[in-house]
Order: sequence, then C-alpha cells, then structure tokens
Amino acid sequence: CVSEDDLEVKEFNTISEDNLEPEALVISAYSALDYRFNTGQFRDLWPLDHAPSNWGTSDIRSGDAYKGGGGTGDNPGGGMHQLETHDLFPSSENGYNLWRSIYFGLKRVDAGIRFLVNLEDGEFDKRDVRLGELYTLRAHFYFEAMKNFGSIVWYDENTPVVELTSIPNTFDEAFIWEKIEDDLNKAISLLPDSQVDLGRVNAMVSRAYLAKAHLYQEEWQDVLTQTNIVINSGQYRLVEDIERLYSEPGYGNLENIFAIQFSINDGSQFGNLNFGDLLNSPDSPSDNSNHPYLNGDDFHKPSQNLANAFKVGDNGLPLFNSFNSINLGNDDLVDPRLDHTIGRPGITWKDWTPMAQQPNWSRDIGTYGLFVRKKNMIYPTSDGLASNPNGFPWALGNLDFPLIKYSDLLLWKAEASIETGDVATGIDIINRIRLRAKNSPYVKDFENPSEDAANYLINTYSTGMSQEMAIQALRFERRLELANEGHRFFDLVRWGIAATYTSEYISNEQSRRPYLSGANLAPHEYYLPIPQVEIDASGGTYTQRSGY
Amino acid sequence: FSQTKTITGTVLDENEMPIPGATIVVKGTSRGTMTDFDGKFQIEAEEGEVLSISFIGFSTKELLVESAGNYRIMLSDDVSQLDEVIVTGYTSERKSDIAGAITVVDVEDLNREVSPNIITSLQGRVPGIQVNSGGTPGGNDSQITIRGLTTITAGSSPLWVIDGVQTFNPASLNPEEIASIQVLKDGASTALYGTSAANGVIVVTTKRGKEGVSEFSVKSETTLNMLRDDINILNARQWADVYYQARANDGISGDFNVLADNGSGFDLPEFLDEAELIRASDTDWVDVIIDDSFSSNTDLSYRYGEENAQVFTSLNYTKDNGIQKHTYYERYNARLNTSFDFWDDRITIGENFLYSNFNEVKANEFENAILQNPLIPVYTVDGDYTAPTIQDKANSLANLWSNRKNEQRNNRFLGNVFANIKIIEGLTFDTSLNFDYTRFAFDTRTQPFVQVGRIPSVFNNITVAKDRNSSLRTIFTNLLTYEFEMDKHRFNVLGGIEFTKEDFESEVELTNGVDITEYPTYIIKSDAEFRTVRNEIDYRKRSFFGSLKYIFDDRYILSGSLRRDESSRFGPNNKTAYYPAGSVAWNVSNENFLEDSKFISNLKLRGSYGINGNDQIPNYLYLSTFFDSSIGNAIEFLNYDIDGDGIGAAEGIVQARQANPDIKWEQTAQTNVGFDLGLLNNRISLTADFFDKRTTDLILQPIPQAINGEAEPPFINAGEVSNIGFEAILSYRNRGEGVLRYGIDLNFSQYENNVESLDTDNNFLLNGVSITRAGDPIASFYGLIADGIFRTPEEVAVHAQQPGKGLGRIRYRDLNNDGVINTDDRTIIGNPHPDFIYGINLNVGYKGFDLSAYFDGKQGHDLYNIQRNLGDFTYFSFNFGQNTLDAWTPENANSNIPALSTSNVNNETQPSSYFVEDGSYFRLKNITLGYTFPQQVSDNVGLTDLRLYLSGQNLFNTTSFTGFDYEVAGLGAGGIGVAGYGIPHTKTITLGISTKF
Repeated sequence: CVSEDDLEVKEFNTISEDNLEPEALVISAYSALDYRFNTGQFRDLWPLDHAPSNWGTSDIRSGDAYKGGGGTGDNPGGGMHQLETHDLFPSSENGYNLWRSIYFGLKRVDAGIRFLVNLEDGEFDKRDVRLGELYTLRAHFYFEAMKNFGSIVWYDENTPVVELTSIPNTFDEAFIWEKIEDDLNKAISLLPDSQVDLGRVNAMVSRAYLAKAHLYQEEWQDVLTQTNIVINSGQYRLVEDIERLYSEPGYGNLENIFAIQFSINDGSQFGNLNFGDLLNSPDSPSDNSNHPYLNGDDFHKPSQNLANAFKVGDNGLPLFNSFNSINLGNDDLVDPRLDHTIGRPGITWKDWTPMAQQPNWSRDIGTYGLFVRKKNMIYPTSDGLASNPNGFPWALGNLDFPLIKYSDLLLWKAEASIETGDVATGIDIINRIRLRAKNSPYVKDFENPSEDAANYLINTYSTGMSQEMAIQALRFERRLELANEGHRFFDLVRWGIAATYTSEYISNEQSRRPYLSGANLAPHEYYLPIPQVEIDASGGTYTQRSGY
Repeated sequence: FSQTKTITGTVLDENEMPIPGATIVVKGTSRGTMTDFDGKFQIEAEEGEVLSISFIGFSTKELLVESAGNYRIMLSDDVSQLDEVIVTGYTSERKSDIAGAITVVDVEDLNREVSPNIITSLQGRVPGIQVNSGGTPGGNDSQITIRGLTTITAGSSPLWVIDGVQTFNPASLNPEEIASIQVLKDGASTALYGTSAANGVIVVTTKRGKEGVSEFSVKSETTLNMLRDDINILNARQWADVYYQARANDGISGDFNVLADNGSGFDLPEFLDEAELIRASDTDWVDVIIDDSFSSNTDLSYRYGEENAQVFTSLNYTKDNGIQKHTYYERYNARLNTSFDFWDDRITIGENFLYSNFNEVKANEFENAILQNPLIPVYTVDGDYTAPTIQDKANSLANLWSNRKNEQRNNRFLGNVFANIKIIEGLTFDTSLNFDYTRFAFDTRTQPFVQVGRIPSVFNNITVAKDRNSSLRTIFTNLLTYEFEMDKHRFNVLGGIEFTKEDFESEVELTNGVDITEYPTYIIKSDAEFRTVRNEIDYRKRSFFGSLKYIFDDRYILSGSLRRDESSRFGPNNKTAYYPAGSVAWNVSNENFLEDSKFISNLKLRGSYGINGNDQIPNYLYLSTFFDSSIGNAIEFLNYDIDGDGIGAAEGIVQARQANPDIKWEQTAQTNVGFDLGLLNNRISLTADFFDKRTTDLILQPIPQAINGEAEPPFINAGEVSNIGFEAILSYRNRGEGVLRYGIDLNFSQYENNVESLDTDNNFLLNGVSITRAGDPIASFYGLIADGIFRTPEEVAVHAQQPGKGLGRIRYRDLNNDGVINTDDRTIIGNPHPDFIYGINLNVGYKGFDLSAYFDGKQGHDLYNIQRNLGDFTYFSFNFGQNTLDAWTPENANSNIPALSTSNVNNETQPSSYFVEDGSYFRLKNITLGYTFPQQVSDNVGLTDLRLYLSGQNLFNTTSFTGFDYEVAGLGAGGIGVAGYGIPHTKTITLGISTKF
C-alpha cells in the first residue's frame, strides 16, 4: 500500500501557468479598470474610497465637490474627509487602496504582455493587436499613478519578476512620461483605428492618451498632432442630448473615446458595476418607494462654488470674476448644463415622474448643503439599472464611466491652440461645445413640463479675444463641461494654480462649510503620500515624498 | 449447588472513615453496586463468587463470598496512585513511567462546567492552556493554545486524539461522554504525532462499558443565560446633546436631519419622518436584541459489561440559546462504544462511533445595536419594523428575526473500528481504521420583513445560495508493541505505520435573481441566473514511527522515539520530515533512601526533548495557480464587458497564487524539565514544569507589496519564535477527616513569547494594530503613544508638528524627537500575552452536600479597545459611549476624553496607546452546590446517586477593562486581544439533576 501515488493530490479546477488562454489574460487586464480585485479584502471588493472615477482624489480636492455622506465623520477608507481638507497622511487607507488598485492593474497587464511576447509567430493571430491594447492599458495605469502619486515605481515585461520588490519609487517624471509615450507609440503601430468590440482600445484611444500625456508636459504641438488625427478620423462626435449622455447606457458610445465598460446580467452577483461610485447616489430616508433609486449614501456632493460657476450674465457667458460673490438663486440666469450636472431640490430628476428632487435626498444638509450629484447617474427607469425593482446597489447599472470623452479631447486641442497663440481655433472649439449644450434639450419644470426648469441661457464667445482671456475661457469651459468627472484637480495642478486657486476657494467656501476652516493645500499635497504600508513593506526601498 | 447470599457491608479507609462511591462488583458478572455516603452497600452474591471492591486512589480488594453477613472492608491508600494507566496516544502508560509533561484532567471537575463545548470547559483547568473565546452560543468560536503561540500563519490548534481519531476540531464532543483527558505538552510526549504535534496533543478517551456493571445514567439540567457585563451607551437625550455639542465645537450649527437647532441644543422631534410613522423614541437597542434565555442539556447513557463484552451508549441533547434573540446552537449526539474479546481475550474487536448533529443560527447584531441611534424606535406606529433613519444602521431586531431560519446544519460521524491481537505474551498488534466524516448544509432563507409599510428592497432580486460541503478523513493506523521484563528491566517497543487521507468537496448553488415576498417561497425571476461553484481539496499524509522505552527497577526511565512524515502539503523539494525525541526520568521516591519516608510519598524528576512539526497550512502552496471565474464568486473581478453592449461579460483569468516549491512544515523543538512531588501520602502534591520551545522555519506570508499583484504572495519558511515558560499545579486533598471532605487545587502558568527573527524582506507583519516582528511577542500592539490631551494653548504651541493638534485633542509623543509626529513615532504600545494565567479550584463536601468553587484569572495582558473608536469619538451620528459625557472642555480640563468633534482632523482613530487597556481579570468561573440523597432515600425510588445541584457561571468578575467584554476571541498573528464587537459572554445559573439506576 506504500507507493509514491499515495501522496499525489491535484488542485481542483485551476489552470496551470503553461495552459493559459491569451484572450482571457487580456480581458482580466481590462477588468482591472474598475479597480475591483479578488483578494477577499473589502477594500479590493468595493473601491468606494478610491474610485476609478477619481471623485475622491480629484473632485473633492478641487473645490468642485464636497465629500458628502452622513457628516464629516462618515469617512470611507478613513481619509476621505482629509482629502477634502488636504490633511493628507501616509497611513491613509484611501491612498493605499488606490496604489494597490493601480499596481494590481499593472500586474494583470504585465502578465498578459509577458505571455503574448513569448508566443511564436502564428500561434495566436491577434497577438499584435492584443499587445497594442495592453501597452495602452499600461500607459493608462501609469498615467493614473503619475497624476495621483508623482513618485512611482516603474517596471515592464523585461524586468525579472524576482526584482520587482527591489525597484525604488524614485523615477523622475520625465522618465515616466517617456515610458508612457513609448507604450502608446508602440500601441499605435500595432492597433487598428477601430475595433469590433466597443470596449477595446484602438489606435485612436492610444493617440488620445498620447495627446493627454503631451498635454501634461505642455508639449502643445504634439497635442495638436495627435488630437487632429483623432478628430479627423471622424469616429467620434459630440452627441446631441447631454442629459442622455449623462444618464442613458450606450447613448454616449460615440462621444466616449475610452470608457470603463459596465455590465449587468453577466452572472455576477450584482453585475460588473461602477462600485467606486456606489456611495454617490442621493439618499432616500425610510426607503421611500417614490424615490428614484430607493436609497443611497449621498457622497460626492457638488459644491456651492461649482453651482455658482454655472451662473451666466445677460450675454449667456460665465461670470468669471463675480460668480461666487452671491450664491446661486432660483431666478438667476444659468448655463443649462447646471441642471444636467447638479441636482437641486424642486428640479426634475432626469426621467423620474413620481417626484421632483427633495431636500431630504441630502443626508446632512447642515454640513454639506442641498446639492446632489446628478451627472453620470443612470436613468431611474433604465433597464440597465442593476436592481429591479429599485434597490441595492442603488443607482448602479451598466452606464459606462468615461475616461476620455470627445469633448475632453476637443478641449485639449483648444488649450494647445490657445497656448500656441491660435486663439481663434481654440475659441471655436469652445463654442462648438457650448453650442451643443445650447441645442441640447433643457431640463423641464416638474410641475409644468412645457417650461424650462430654470432661466437657462448660454451663448458663444466671440473669437476675438486676448490669449489671456482665452485661457480663462478655456479653463472655465473645462470646469463646466467636465464638472465632477475626475479631471479638475489634476488640471489645477498641471496649470500650476492649485495652491492659489484652492486657497481662494477655501477662503470663501469656509463660511458656507465651517469644516473647511483652516484647510490649506500645501504644494507637497498635490500628490498623495506614498502609502505607509508599502513603505514599511518595502523594507527601505520606497521613500516618502518630502513634506509628509 | 450454590446459594444466593445477601452481603451487606461498610467500606472504610485506613482511618476507619467511610468511603462513599466505592464500586463493588461480583467478578465475572455484570452485577455490581456502589457505597452510599456512609460507605455502606448491599449486594446479592452466590457462595464462592468473588467481590471486587475498588475506589480511585485506593488499592482494590477482593473478598470471597462464603456466607451472608455484614462485612467491614478496609481499603488502604494506594500510595503510589501511580499505577493508574494513562492513555497517552498510541500507547498507554503507567503514570509512574511517564517522563514527559502530561496533565491528567479531572473529568469530574470538568463536568461541572455548564458548556456544551469541551474547549470552554477546559479553560483555566489545565496549566499551560490558554483559551480565548467569543460569546457565540455553543462556544464554537473558542480557540485554545498550549504553552504559548508557536505559529504566526499556520494553525495553532492542538491535535485532539479522540479514541485514536486525530482531529483539530473537537467541537462535536459532548463533555459528558468523556472518560479521561490527558494533555500532552512537552515535545517528547507528543513526538509520535510528528507533523501534527507542534501545538501539543490532547488525548481523549470516551466512556466504555465496565465489567460487572449494568447501569443507566441520566442527567438533565436547565440553564438561565444572562448578559454578563454591562454595555453602557447613551440615551436619546444624551445623544442629541453630545452630538449638538460636537457640531457646535466645529462651528456647525443649524438643523441636523430631523433635529431642529433651537440655539442651545437639538429639539427632539415627535416624529422622525414626514409621514409621521416613525415616532421618536428612547430605545435601548442592546436591550432590544438580548433576552435572558433558558438552555437545556439532557444526557442519557447506559453501560454494560461482562467478561467478554462491554457496551457504552449514550444520547445527548443540548441547546444553548445564548442571550441574543433568534440565535441558538443545538446538538444531538449519539455514541456507541463496544468491544468484544475472543479466544481467551487474545483478540479484542470493537468500535467507537459518534454521530453528532449540530445546528446553529448565527448572527451578531451587537455592533448594529450599540451604534444604532436611540431616537429610532424598533417599530413604526403601524407596528412595522423601522427602517434606517438618521443614519444607515439597519434595524438589528428585524435582522435577527429575518435570519432566524438561516440554520447551518452539520452532521458528523466520527470514530473507528479496531482490532487488538495479542500474538504472544507481550506482543500486541493493533489495527484501527479511523474516520471523520462531516457534512455541512446551509440554505439562506432570510425572511423578508415589512418595514414602514413595504418589504425592503434587499429581498428583491437577490441571490440565494445553497451551500453544501463534506469531507471525509480516514486514518489507517497499524501498531505493533512488544512489552517484556527481565529481572528489574522493563522494555516497551512500539512500531507504527499510518496513512491519512482527506477529501473535501464543496458545492454552492447560487440563484441570482430571486424575490422573496411570500416566505418561505421564492419567486425565481424569469431572467434569473444559476451558477454552481464547486471545489475539491485533497490531503494525504504517510507516516512511520517507532519508540523504545526502558525502565530499570521502577527508578530510571529512558525513552526515545522517531517519526517520519510525508505530507502532500509540502513542496516537492521538501517532502519528508523526521521528528526525533527522547526523555529521561528518575523516580527518586523509589530509591532506598526515600522508600520508607513518611513525608515524601512521591518524587520524580523528569527531562525531555523532542521535535515536532506543524503542517496546518493550506494545501497546494507549491503550485502556481491561475483561475477563471468558474472558481469562487469571481465574475465581477475577472470578467469584462468587452463588446460594450452592457449585457454579459467576457471571461478573464488571473493568477491566484504564487508558488513556493520549497514549502515545508514548521519545526518546534521543545526542552522540558519538571518534577512531581507528593507529600504526606500524596495529600499534598506539586507538579512543576519548565519549558523552552523554539519554533523555526515559521510559515509566513510576508506583507504583500502591490507591485507583486493581487495574487496571494507565496508562503515561505522563515523566522523563529520562542516560548519559554513555567507551570505548576499544587493540590491538597484531605482524606479521612470524617464526613467533611475538602480539597484545593491551584494551577499557575506563565510564558514569554518572543519572535526571535523573521527573515522576510520586510521583517515584520502588521495587521491593523497587531505587529509581529523580531524582538517582540507575536501580535504586539503597535502605534503612537497618546500622551494625554492638550490642555492649554501653550502646550499646543510648543508641541511638535502634529497635523490637527489643538486644545482638547490627543497629544502624540514625538518618540524620535524630530519635531514631527508621523509614522516614525510608532512603537510597541501593548502586549496581548498575559504575564500569567491561574486557576483555583476549591471543593468541600459534608455528608450528602458538595460545594465547589472554581476561580480563574489572567493577569498582565493588554487589550486594544476598538469599541472606543466609535464610542469615544463623535465623528458620526451613531450612538456613542458614555465616555463622551465626560469629554474635555475648558471647564472639564482634567478629562482624559478628547473634546467632542464631528471630524477627525487629528486622526485620533489611528492606532495609539489611547485604546490600550489592561485586560487582567479574575472571576468566579463556576460555583456548584450539590446534594446527593442518602442511598436509603433513593433506594425507595429505585435509584442510586440521586443528586440535585445548582451551579452558577461567571457570577463574579473583576476587571478594569472598560470595553463590554474582557474575554476577546482571536489567537494569532492576525490579532490577539483586539476588542471589537464580538458577541458578549453570559453569566448563567443552572439547576440540574442526575441519577443512576
């Protein structure tokens, strides 16, 4: 009865290293875009406090949104409130969780690349295309790491696996930008301009990313080159109805150059959903069934300052200097995008007919006020909603989250044009975006649907203006058009105005939101501290950014 | 032609004091009886038969029946008491031959503990054993370690050998069916169990039939459960005042939710909702979810024995209702132990079967209840459950109610079939096929409850799971033993071979898309999805072992053993492990110079050294594994909607584990030195042991670095931990002082746990507040030192740079004096390992009365009180602890509770000594008063040993810990003594009756 077979055991239903399916490796790399990982830890299951939408790391640090939720102490990850007040600290869960997500994503990409580059020619006919996709995804994750952490660890498929933990986090920005550009250029050479699968990266996505990388380095000519190719491809356009763009699954496909694809009815418990934004739907006390999403946690609340920014003058143009001196009133003239972007009590909520927005959709009015997030939330009646009838996971559904929208890219071109002195081209693009808003259906009054919900007015700029004015118009337009889509803080940092802008924002906003008293953005806080757990675990390989 | 005689008599000890409870058996028959409290007995016997009279601690006497009459039978003290045979695992040994550190548990004392769980019962009873438990009904969350924690990542449970069946899970055992428990603590005593023995071995034998006895035993008890420790939180008015003040301190004014700001405080509203269904209340939510309850335990057993056949069978039903509503543990046990002798007793064949069916409804709503806002009523004005209002804590009573049918059902069939063949005199072959089959079934049947007029959404479009798993472990053991004597030389030789095979299978059927409206029926929606997740895990072990024991003249004892284990869990480069051991002992009291001592009745010096292993690690660690979403519930992590249509997702694949082909066992080498001392006819006895335990090749999972990806980092063997300690039992037992009997046992144990090295890249493991690193005990608390509270602006101004510092805030110590408070100022802030553990057992008997009191305590360990996280700090509109009533203000300047605030700018919930408290406790764990009716009385109803008893558990407790329970579950590097929101322990009062017939 004694033989070697006595001890033989097999692991059930697993896949050995030499038996991997390349397509599946690529899919899992895409699947990392939503920052959900199967480690058995809650932080990786639901990335509520470090969402891929960057609502915490960008919007609430930029003055466009408050953290929200049930008071300042309602603090997912333990550092969300501190993100808003710029009291960043290395042991924050939020930063650690974000770091994990980015590097987990990079590892999935890396596993795919290592597998694909070792395939013989002809073994897998999609090899080059898939490699191009993976190089672009790698650029995406390094880009996220750069924006958020500044000091990062870089490796690629040529780095021996055993050396991964010996790499310091001290690569300079120029080096990383070069690597990001390398990956994108490789991808452009390998990828077709379009792909059958909507969720896949194509060469235009790589070019858009390349344009964005150049934008962050203020390499304006390169921005123009790449954005022009994407624009001239004719593959993308500004869709007509902004409300549907923000609310209806699939409607934004033509405007979204690159979006995280979410799905329902895919065999998973709730769906492959945007769990990073789970907390951001409005509240419903007592499970009121007339409420659009039945419940919610009311995080990511638009700031008073942002709402005020939608005020316009009689000319239908923003009030650049005076918008924040008096709070937005019900009869003020406003940009029609206000009520697509920000939920206000009494205003119609998307296509929801049982009730207009109520004050009690906000959980802590004393602390955070009455505005709720409205953009990028699915129609309550959509069959893409994950729960039916309404319920957990509240407002989540298969509405994709845009990482790069055509409007964003157009504004990069506008910015590059203006910065290079071509104000007319820049303002032209801005006007294109404003005209789309002007011509899109407006939000209607709840009681009287034949009338607008507010006094909407939006007009175009005249093309004859100074470069300085044009820069102001461009930056304001980015704020309004892309409000609370996770770009603003990174824009402020790359424009070099984050500290002064934030200081002015806080000086006004603290009278409305007392918890902001004393808040201050120090320059070292443009980037998150390197997570303490990672520094500790690295045994001295990683170093903290100075100031922390 | 023989004649039946009626024999009566009195059994007395050497001081002519009666011995109650002595056994009188007619040899070769099943007839027998016992003496009453006056030492008297009566039995029918035939002329020429032989009566055997025995009592533990005394030499057995035999009496030839010649005529009827009244006999006085004097038993003499069995001075050595050491001829008692003790089962020590694969073998049995005379107590006097033992050279290791083995504690024999007094099973009778143990059975006074009112717990269905054997681990809970052992708590405090054995020196060297530490038990940490939560308050879950049934006690299944209890964890036990012997002589300190030797492992960081691998399993820390000792090996249980139940009638030869090896298991790490003794939960099905009914303490009532146990005949003896031996705790094997030193490395040599346990060495024959090799790779399973590093955490010690507990050998349990269950009751068997006894020759000459045919007897039913019945025991029934009812227990009243009550909450042991107070849980102090705020009432509605206090809460509103505290929260108002916290907001005011932050400059926030105005209404909060439904509370109107009246300028100096919140007005409590009449209703919490616009529809006026939820009337503002002053609910004590803890009181809402707990209830004093009754538990019951009923035990019926029968034993029978004749010359060639013994039978023991028992039935037990126990139900523990705990204190939390709608939760329970219930267990049905049936046991059958029989054995038959053949061919002049040269072959014995038998079996030990245990069938156990235990079912649990588990829940823990204490966190919800403690944090729930007291303004919220349990019910609305319509009588529905109140939905979350003010904040999003669920209605904990509704949760318990709806969970009440979610029963986890377990079946276990454990035991063996054995044969024992005496080949020639002294040479014995034992073979046994041991098995342990478990089956687990769990169907979620959460009942929807009406909440404010509607069924909450959570019961619509949900996933229901049907969970089944089973495992079968077989251990085939074959032993050959040879015992022989030559003059003064005694030898005992053992050789064994054993093969272990374990197959685990699980299957979870998920139905995604179910509405529950008409409980218990489900409506499976038309678009529902069905999935089945399966898994299988296999484990094999092959072992050879041998031992040799040599005893000279009952004075010198020398023994050695060696075991070779091969385990499927070890990597291909390290398949085979060898575990050697040796021990020596000197029975000094058998030397000439002590043989006649009236004072020293027993003195033995013992020394042993042995190497054990620990393979309680996950399987397959040497394999690099990828998986797709067919394993586990991984679709949302791996799959992606690549075609962008929003429906369905393409399948991904990801690495799950990084391999280590070198993975092997943890190795523990233990040196033990001890002595046994008996004085004055062993009335006073002292056993003391010193041990030095060193575990090397610790199985570790270094802190993962994100750069390595999400795959579980490889387990490695690295590092060393030591446990050095001392333990002792001191007993005094009077004997022959008349009708008054009394005794006292003290046990004491102490160990120092220290991580000697941890050769990983990062050299430490940090789990929340618990750090494991070289130079400190496992799971020490780690964080900043909270140096009190800033009381003056000057103190704030001169203090180091500390983001968020301010009046009334916690001041952290700048440990490295660099002028900045940051993570570099962290240090060890507490040790969760006790300085010592002790138990005191007192018992006294007078005629039919018996009284015993059992105290135990744990001294000098720290607890990390996480309850203060949300309890002391008013960041969130949950309910708060009563400490907030004493928060710092300029007027209350001496308070040590930080000022109230709704934000956490000073990051005060980070790990710091603010949360570390002394966890020492001392308690009366059990007190029992019993009365046994005189035999004459019980004879009238045909019973013997009719006893009534009243018992109290945890009636007296003393501790300075401010959390709601000083006993905290958790025993590992993941955290020891981290006091969160576990289920609190109970205090109980039990009324019981037992008898035999």
